[in-house]
Amino acid sequence: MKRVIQQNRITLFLIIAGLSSCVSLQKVNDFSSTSSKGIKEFEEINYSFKQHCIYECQFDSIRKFVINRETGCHCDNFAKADNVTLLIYNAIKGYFDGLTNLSNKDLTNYNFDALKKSLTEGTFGNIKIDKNHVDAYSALSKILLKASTDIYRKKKLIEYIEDANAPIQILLSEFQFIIQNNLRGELDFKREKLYTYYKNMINNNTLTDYEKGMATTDYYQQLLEVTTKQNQIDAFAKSLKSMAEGHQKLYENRNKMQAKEVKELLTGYASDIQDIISEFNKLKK
Amino acid sequence: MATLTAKQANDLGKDFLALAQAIGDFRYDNWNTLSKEDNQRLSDFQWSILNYGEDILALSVILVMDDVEASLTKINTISSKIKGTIQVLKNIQKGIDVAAAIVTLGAAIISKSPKVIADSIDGLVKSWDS
Repeated sequence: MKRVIQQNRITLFLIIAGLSSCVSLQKVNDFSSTSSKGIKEFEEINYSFKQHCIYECQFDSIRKFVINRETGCHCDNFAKADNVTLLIYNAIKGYFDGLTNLSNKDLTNYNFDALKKSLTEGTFGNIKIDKNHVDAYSALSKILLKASTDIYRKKKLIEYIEDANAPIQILLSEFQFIIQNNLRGELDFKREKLYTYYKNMINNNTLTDYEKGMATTDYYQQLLEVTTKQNQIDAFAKSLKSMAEGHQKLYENRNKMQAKEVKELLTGYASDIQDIISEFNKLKK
Repeated sequence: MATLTAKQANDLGKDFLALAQAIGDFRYDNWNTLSKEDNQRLSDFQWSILNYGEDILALSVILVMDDVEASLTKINTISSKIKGTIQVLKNIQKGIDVAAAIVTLGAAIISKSPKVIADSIDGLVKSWDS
């Protein structure tokens, strides 16, 4: 009897441990899946260094009325800049995707149906296996297995978050630097070239008033496109900052992920990133 | 000679932009007093500075690579480890399925039916390969 009570206690402990680890796994999953979604918005910016180089090179020919069979644009450095950007982007994306998959609640929802079926339908000589017993043991095994595997993956998650914090902080910060200072900066040059091009056109006094009006309309239209792109970049860069802060909190509290404040913090960061994604998506329209 | 950092290159790019803007403002402020040739020369100068500035910003990105190489390797290693752990957890399901197939095979052997035994072996192989 004592042994049965002891076994029940162990079972209960494992179930509670399993259930409580589910809660923290869920919060890690919420944060990492939102970050994963947020980082992928980079592809929606739809502007690269090479694209910028080609556009500017063609614009240079347009302003000079130069028509060649080939554009003759030299964009090697811009293509290299894209390669570096993509390397960093893919590394960050791969990491958050991994965290999302590892903390996904469905990962350890094992299916015992095949085993149940083979045990209840099989003919084992004189041995008759009761279906109710099979169901009960299968349910218990499922709970115990989930509890133990959840403890295992929680341990692994803590280990990975700990090892990844320093490099992911560097990557997120450098990625933000590239996007907000360099890619956005290229658009500042585009803005200045548009200003110079149209200002020269108006100052040259070779256009009629109507043509001047059309040129002014074109200028502001193009300026608006640049501004929208820059606003998208700003929104995206803001989400990178939230991801970095969220991961830092996750790292600092990796051993007390059950704490209410930590859960609230992670929910806060996930919701911040979500808000920024919504803001970003509004700019796309 | 000291090498340029990504941040320094970015600052330099911004300085080029400010310089080009200053030249542009000077041209427009003195539009009527500058000779056509001088205006054109300044305009070409301004455009070249803008082009160099864009190149410098691209260079700044390339220089970032020096600062992130070690972090990239670390994160990619961690991501591979995460994938490995996920695979271990997925293999548990495979273990359960293989166990079910073995039980089915055991029952088939006891039943002494060659057809059922053959089917069960087939089922076991399939769950092992899945």
